[in-house]
Amino acid sequence: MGLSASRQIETTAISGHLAFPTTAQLHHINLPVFRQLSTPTAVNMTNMKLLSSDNVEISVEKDVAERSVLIKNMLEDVGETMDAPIPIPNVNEAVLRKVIEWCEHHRNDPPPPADDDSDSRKKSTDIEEWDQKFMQVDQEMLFEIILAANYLDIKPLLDVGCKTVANMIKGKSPEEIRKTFNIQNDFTPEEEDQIRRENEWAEE
Amino acid sequence: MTGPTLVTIPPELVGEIMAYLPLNDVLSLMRTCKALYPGSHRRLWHTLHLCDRVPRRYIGPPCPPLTFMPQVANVVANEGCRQLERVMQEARTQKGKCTEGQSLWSGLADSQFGFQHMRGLALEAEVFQRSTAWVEDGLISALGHLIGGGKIPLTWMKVSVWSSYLETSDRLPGGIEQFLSLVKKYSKTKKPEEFSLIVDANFISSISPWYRLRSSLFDLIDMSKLTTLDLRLDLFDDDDEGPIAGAAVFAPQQHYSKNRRPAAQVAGSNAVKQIKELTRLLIRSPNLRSFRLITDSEDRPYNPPPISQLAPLLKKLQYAFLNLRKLTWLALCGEIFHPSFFVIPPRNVRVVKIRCDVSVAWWRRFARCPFPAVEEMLLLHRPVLRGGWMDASDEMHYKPVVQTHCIGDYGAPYAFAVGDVGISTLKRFFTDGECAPADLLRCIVRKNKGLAGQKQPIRLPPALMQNMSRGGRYRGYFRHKMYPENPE
Repeated sequence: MGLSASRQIETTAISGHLAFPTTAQLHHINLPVFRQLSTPTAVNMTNMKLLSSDNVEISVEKDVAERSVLIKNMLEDVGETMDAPIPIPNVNEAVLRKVIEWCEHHRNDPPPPADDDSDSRKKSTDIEEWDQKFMQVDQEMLFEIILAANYLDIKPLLDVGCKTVANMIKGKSPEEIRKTFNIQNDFTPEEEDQIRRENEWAEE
Repeated sequence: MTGPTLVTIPPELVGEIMAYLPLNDVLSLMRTCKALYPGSHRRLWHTLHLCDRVPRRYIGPPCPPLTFMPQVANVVANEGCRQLERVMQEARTQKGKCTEGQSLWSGLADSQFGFQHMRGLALEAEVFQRSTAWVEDGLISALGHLIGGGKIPLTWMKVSVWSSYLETSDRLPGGIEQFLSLVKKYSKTKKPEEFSLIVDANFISSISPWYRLRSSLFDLIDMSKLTTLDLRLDLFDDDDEGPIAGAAVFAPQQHYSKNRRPAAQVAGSNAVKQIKELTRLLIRSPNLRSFRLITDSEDRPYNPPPISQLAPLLKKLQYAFLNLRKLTWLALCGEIFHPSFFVIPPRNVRVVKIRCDVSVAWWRRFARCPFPAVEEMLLLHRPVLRGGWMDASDEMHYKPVVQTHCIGDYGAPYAFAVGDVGISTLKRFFTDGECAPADLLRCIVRKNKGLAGQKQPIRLPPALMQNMSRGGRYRGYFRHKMYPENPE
C-alpha cells in the first residue's frame, strides 16, 4: 500500500504538476517524514527562554513567544534548536512578564485580516474586555508596554496600547491632557493663543 | 519620572496613537506642549477633505493604493475655509508680505501653515461651485499654485466633478479649470507609482443632453495617473420623450426589420457619442485599476438601436477595455450601451460586479467568456423585453406581445439555457435577478470548485433585490413574473 501511494506521488511530481498529495494519500504512507507532519502540536509545545534587560531568564512556550514577529523571525533565522536564552535587551523583567501574559491569553487569535479594505482599516477605539483589564496599569507601565510591543513587533498589542492612550486623551481640553499625562506647558500664553487661532479652521 | 511618557516616546508612536483620535482631540493635543506640536500639526494637515456639507461614507470603487480614508481626513467645510482664509490673510499682513497676484500665496508653503505636510487631498463636487468660499476666496487657486509649484508633495488626489455644479453651459469655470491644469503640471513630474488620481465624474465631455463643454474633463487631468474612475453617464437622447418609464416596451414592434434606424440618427445619438468618448478615455488611461460605469437614468428610457448598428463602435470599446492591463476591479451598472453588449473584462480583473439589463444574447456571450482571473463576481440581472433593440437573431427568444385588458404578455424572453460557462476561477459568487439561464447556477457550481469555501448563499437576500428594482425602467413591471418558472 505504502509503495503504491508513494509511486503515485512520484508520478504527479514527474508529470510536472505541482499538486500536493491529498490527505487520503498521506494516510496510506508510512514514511517517517509524514508522521512528523501529522503531529505538529508536539513541536509547538516546546519551551524556550527569554533573557530580560535586567538579566532574568523567563521560560515561555514557543508558540506564545512567536506572537512577537521579532522573536519568530529570529527563531526562523537561527533554526529550530535553540537552548540558550534569547536576550531582549530593551525590555525589563516586569514588562516582559506582562507582555508574555498578553501573548498567552491571545495565543490562539486568528492572524489579522490581510486585505487592506477601507472598512477593515477603520480606526475604532473599542477594546475587548480582557484587554481593558489588562491595560489597567500605571502610566509608566502602559508606555513601557507600548514600547515593548513596538520593539518586539506585536502589532495587536501595540494597537491595544495606542487605543488605551487615545481613550485617555479623547474629549479632554489641553489643560486636562497636561494633567493626565503630567506634561509641563512650555508655551507662553501668546503662543498658545496663536496656535488656537491658527488652527480654528480645522475645528468641527 | 524615569519611565517613558507621552512626551518622551518616539514621535512615530505618538503618530500611531493619534491615528485613533478625532481631529478635535488632535487640536487639543497640539496645544499641550512644544514636544507634541509638530506631530499633531502634521496629522492635521496630512489629509484634507474639502467639502461644503458632511461627506457621506465613501462607497465608490476601491482606491488602490488605498489612500482615501475619510475617517482620518481633516474635513474642511465652507466655514472652515473662510477661517483658514482669514488666518492666512492675517499672517500675511503681519509679515508685511507683498500682496499682489499669485505671489500672494508664495510664502505660505514655508510658513507655519502645514501645506508641506499634505499628502492627500479630496475635493467634493460642490467645492467647485462658484459661490463657495473655496472658489470665491481663492483657496482653490492658492492650493493649485502650491501644488503646481511643487510645494505640496501630494501622493494622491480624489476629485469629484459633477456637471450640476459647474453652472455653465459652455465651459468649466476658471477656478476648476485652472486648478486641474496646475495639478496636471505637478502630476506630469511624478511617476505612476508616486501619484494617483481618483476621479468621480458624471460626464466625459458632452454633458448629455443639455451641455456641451469646450474641453473634455479628461484633457484637464494627467490620464496616466488615473487609477480609480467612477463614471456616471446618461445615454438617452433629449428628444427621446418617453412619456413614462417603460412605455417603450409596449410599442408594437413585432418584427425586427422595422427596428433598423436611419444611420444618421444613430450616428448623431447621445449613446454613440458616449461610446466614442469612453473608448478614447480608456485608451488614454493605462494605469486604471478600478472602474465603475453607471448608466442608470432615473426615469428617462434609453432605447438603443439593434446591436448590429452599434457593433463597429462597441468592438473598439471592447478593445479599449481589454487594454486596461492594470484593471483589477470592474463594476457595470445599468444598460451598458446595449442589452446584448457583454463587456469581456481585461485579463487581470479579479472582482466583477454587474447590475445590468440584459438580453438572452448577453447571456450567451457571458457563457462563452473565459474570465481568466476573476475570483469574485456579483451578478444582478433584469430582463429586457421585446423592443427596438432587437436584431434578427433575437426574434426567436422572445414571446410576442399580446395585450388584453388587464393581463398581458409583454414580450419577455422564453426560458433558455446556456449548457456551460467559461469561468472556472471563482471563489465568491452572488447572483439574483429575473433573467438568468435556467442552468446558470448548476453550470457555475460545477465548473468552479473554488466556490466550495464560500459560506454565504449564492442567492442574495430579497432586501437587496428590492433595492435593485426600485426606479429604473421596469419599476411597475418588476414584480410581474417575467417568464415561466425555470423548467428543471
